[in-house]
Amino acid sequence: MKLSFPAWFPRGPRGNSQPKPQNSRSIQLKVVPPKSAPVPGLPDAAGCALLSVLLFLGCGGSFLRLFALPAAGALMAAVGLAAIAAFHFVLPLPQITKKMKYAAAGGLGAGSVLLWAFTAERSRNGLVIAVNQIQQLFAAEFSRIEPRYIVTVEPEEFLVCTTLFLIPFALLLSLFCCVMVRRALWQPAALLLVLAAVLGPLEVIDTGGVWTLLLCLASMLLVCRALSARGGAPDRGVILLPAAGVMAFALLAGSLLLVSLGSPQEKLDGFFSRGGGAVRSVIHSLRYEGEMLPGLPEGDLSRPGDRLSMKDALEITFEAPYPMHLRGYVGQRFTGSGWEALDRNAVAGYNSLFYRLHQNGFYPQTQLGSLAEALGYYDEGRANRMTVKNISACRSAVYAPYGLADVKTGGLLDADRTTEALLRSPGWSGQAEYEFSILPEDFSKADAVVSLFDQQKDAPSAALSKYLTEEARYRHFVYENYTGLPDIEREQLAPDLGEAGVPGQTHRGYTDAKSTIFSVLNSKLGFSTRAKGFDGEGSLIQTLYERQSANAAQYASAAVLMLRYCGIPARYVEGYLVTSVDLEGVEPGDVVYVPSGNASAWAEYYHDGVGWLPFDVIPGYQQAVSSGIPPEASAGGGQDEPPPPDEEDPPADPPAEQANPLAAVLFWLLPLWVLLLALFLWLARRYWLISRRERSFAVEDPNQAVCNMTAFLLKLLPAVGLPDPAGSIRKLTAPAGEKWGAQWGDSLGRMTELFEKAAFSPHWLTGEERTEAEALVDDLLDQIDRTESKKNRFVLRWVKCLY
Amino acid sequence: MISPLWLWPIWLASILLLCLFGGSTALRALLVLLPLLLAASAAVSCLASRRISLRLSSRELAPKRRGVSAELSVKNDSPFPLMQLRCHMTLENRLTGEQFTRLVAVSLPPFSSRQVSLSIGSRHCGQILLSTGRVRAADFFGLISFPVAAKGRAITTVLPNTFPLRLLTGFLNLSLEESEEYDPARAGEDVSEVHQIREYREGDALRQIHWKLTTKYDNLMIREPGRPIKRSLLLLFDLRRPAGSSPHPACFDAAAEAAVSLSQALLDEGIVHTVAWETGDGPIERRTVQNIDDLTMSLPGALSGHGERIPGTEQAGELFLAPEYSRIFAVCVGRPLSPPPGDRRTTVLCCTDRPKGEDDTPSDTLIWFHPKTYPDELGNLIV
Repeated sequence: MKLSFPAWFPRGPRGNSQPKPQNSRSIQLKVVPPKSAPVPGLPDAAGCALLSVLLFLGCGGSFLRLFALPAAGALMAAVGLAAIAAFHFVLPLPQITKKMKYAAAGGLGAGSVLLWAFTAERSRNGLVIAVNQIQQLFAAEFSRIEPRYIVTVEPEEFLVCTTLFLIPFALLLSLFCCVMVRRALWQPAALLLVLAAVLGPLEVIDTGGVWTLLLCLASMLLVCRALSARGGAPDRGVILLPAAGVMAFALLAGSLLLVSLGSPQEKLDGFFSRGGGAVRSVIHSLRYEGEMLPGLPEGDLSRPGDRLSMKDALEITFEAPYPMHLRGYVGQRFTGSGWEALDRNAVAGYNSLFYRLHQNGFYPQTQLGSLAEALGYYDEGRANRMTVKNISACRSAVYAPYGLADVKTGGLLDADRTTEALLRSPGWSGQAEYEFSILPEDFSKADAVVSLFDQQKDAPSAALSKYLTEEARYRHFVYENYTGLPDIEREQLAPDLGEAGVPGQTHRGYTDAKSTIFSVLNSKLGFSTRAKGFDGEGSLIQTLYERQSANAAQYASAAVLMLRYCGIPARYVEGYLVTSVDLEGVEPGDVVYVPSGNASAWAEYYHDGVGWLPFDVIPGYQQAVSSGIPPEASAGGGQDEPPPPDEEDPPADPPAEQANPLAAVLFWLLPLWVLLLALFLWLARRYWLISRRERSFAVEDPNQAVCNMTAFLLKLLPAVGLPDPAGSIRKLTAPAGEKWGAQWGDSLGRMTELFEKAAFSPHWLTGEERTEAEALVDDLLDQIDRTESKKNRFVLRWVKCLY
Repeated sequence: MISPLWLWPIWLASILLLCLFGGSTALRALLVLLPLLLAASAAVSCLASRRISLRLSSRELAPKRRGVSAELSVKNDSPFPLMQLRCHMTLENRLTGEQFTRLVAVSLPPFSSRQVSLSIGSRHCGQILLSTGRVRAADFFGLISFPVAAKGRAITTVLPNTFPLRLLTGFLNLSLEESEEYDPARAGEDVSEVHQIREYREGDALRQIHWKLTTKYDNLMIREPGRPIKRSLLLLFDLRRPAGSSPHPACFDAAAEAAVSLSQALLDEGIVHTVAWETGDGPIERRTVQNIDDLTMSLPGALSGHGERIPGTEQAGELFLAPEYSRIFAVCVGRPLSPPPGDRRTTVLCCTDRPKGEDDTPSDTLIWFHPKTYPDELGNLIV
């Protein structure tokens, strides 16, 4: 038994193979299709229906799940299944004429329009809800602030509204799936699959459902069907049922085998998750770092130690240089084995908050600058320019100091985005060069900032009041999102840190907390760049205590967890230090090279009213950047007073969007757009058919051209009422003579002679004969134009596109 | 257009991406089980391929320039479905050497058969052989195929058209020679043999009157003379391709038409003759042609164009020396046959597509004709 492999499979050199003979034009073998489409039997229809159902459920279910649309999926599925059943089991019956099919299609279209018309209010709201959900998805993915349109119904009615709006689309989708299956159109299914695969890595699509599986299975069956239709009479659905049966049996057997191997789900998920993580990591490295060896761990605590290159990481130009922390990657959420960004969908729920904050000029990234301005300490005249050029650091982050007053490079601070933790690094390979205005050195130190704030907070100026109002709103977000602590870590921290703070209500004093954390960490751990990574098994704190050593990332992670234990919002940060050593002998305007060895990780905490401040717990690092430990802001340690209560509840959805009229217009314009699209497609179809015909008449071979003209007449003349000639133009001469006069019978007779000479004679037609044939065709078309009724002419021109 | 087989790498890459970045265990299981699906599909196709039978059928005779129906019947006797059976069909005109190949694919459910209607058309006459070349059973994914042992074959002879060919008196004289056999259907001029007795009609010769029967029946009766059957005329069809040359297929078509037209003209004159053709490896086939049915039955063999004609090895040379034939016509293509020197009874009609030269002046022994103008060149054949 010999197997043959497809052409792309590499093979050895062929021996004495004979060249493939070319097909002669004088001898032909054709496959004759049946004269009339046979009525499909039950297995045929069932096979096509099965595949259509799989496609419909896969596409529809994936769509609803992707955008989390609140719709009655069961009802829409029922409508689609009914349409599929009618298409495959009823329409092919010989009793169903073409007119009845057109009437049914028209009825469905009219019914959809009537449904929308009679439920206008609800359907319009359904459109708005769908649009909002779609925008929500993209807003979450791209961290954008997108407008949400006003919905005028209660949330309890969302399901009904969306369902009413989507039912016609479900019907259309089901019919499209039927056509795809019947005609073995594999291209749309392949396109859907590729789209899903492209969206997958963006974490947009949620593939954790059976719908994606159905779509994949259906697309696989559809491709099988398309391949089987090559090279001859296309297969109908008969083969699909037994083929699907064999595949289902094989899948079942394989699944049982997998289950028998034990815990397949965990192994599979673990394997692919690791694979996905590895692929993401490689893509990230190539994209932002240009090499396979990554730099900073970016929240991945499993990486052992620090693997850094020997190159310089950053090139900085200061107007007034001073030591600082340059914040890059920010880890917001502790996963148990590392740090990640906040859940995008959760952050998207704060769109209105950030919209308002940005409208009022409050950006968390430049909060210290805003505070300085509100305190009257800073203005543009005191700006200190700083230019950063990224040489070898990861470009997915923009490295900015805490004392950031303004971002001079466009695109990094976007009012329409919710990325509050860090600056945006746009572009495929990130931002390589940027410029800031930074606060003077004396305001950059935490103690100075806090001290100044404390002096004025009780009697704030108008600017400070305005700042505090916005800050209170932001603080609410901070306390909701940056105080989470796993229970397993909480248990480990209790013995060393005592009573925990209650986030949002009480927390330990900042100074007390930091002192305690600093002393606990330095008594229990030793800093080592070669510390082993943490793989997420068990408690991080316990593991570090047992090892008694930690690298920078682990130190910072422990500090963040401890701060959160104390009730203080905290985050994990990675970046670079500009140390006093780096600035030795540096004059204003000089270029400072920050080596890769200055990469580090630290904690940052939120000081109420002030903003995010760094807290570096690695021994010696604080001194290196001279941030120090701020003096006591109030007498004694212990609990601070609870943070000032919010002046108001979290803001509701911004009412400023005037979207109702737009939604109404969009809703009524939608059918018009559909109609315009249909009209465009109709015109395009006519244009394509006509130009194809003209190209066939203009071929170089005169014999072929005349044969093409004859084929066209064989299609055209029966359409104007002449009897079907069964492929012989000679049989049309008499009827044409009877219909239009003897002269036309003679013309058609002459055309027959020319055709027979072209088709069967070894001679070439002359130019005059070809021209004569063209003139005959044109004369016939003119005759049809003169004699046929307007309705017939319309049908011939615009429906059948015959001329 | 991209080959559909490239769909599979695209499909696989898409699934892989979805599995890596998505979270569906079922989808991941599908990817892991894919090799099993491939194996199952291949196994099913392999098992089904062993129980496939094929049959080709077509009409035996067909007119030129018209489509002739043929049918490919395929039967699957296995309990497994066959997603695609690919038959590489070859259509060959054994006279002209023209070929046409085409892929015909069918799908077969278990225990079922399919008929595929085909249409064969040929611009030239000749023996058309329709056969299945490579037949392979492909799996569900179209990636792996297995050979199918079943083969099919059908032969159709496309008959040449004829043109009117006028024979001159040289032929007619043949019928006056004596013979042991007389034509039972037609009267002649051999008074030694009575064809039939009938009543006198105006125009009959007086010497034909049978006086004895006339007195008996009291009515003028005449005796019609018999027509001797002379088989001494040989028409040789040597329509093989001469070695070292490649005449245009139209030459073979024209030569066949000329030979058949000549034979028909002889039959129209009542001249029974012998038709012979080369069979390639075997001896020359000869057949007596007394009527149009005999001629039609000879054509499948005569138009098969077996093998290649190598000068000097033709068995026709023996025929040229055979004494029983008083007249020989040999129709060939490309290069003329070579009768013995001095042979005045043989006339070679050779069809060529090369431009007419000085050597092409017709003579008594060699007549050139061209595939585009042969009806005019041979319409008035002087032999």
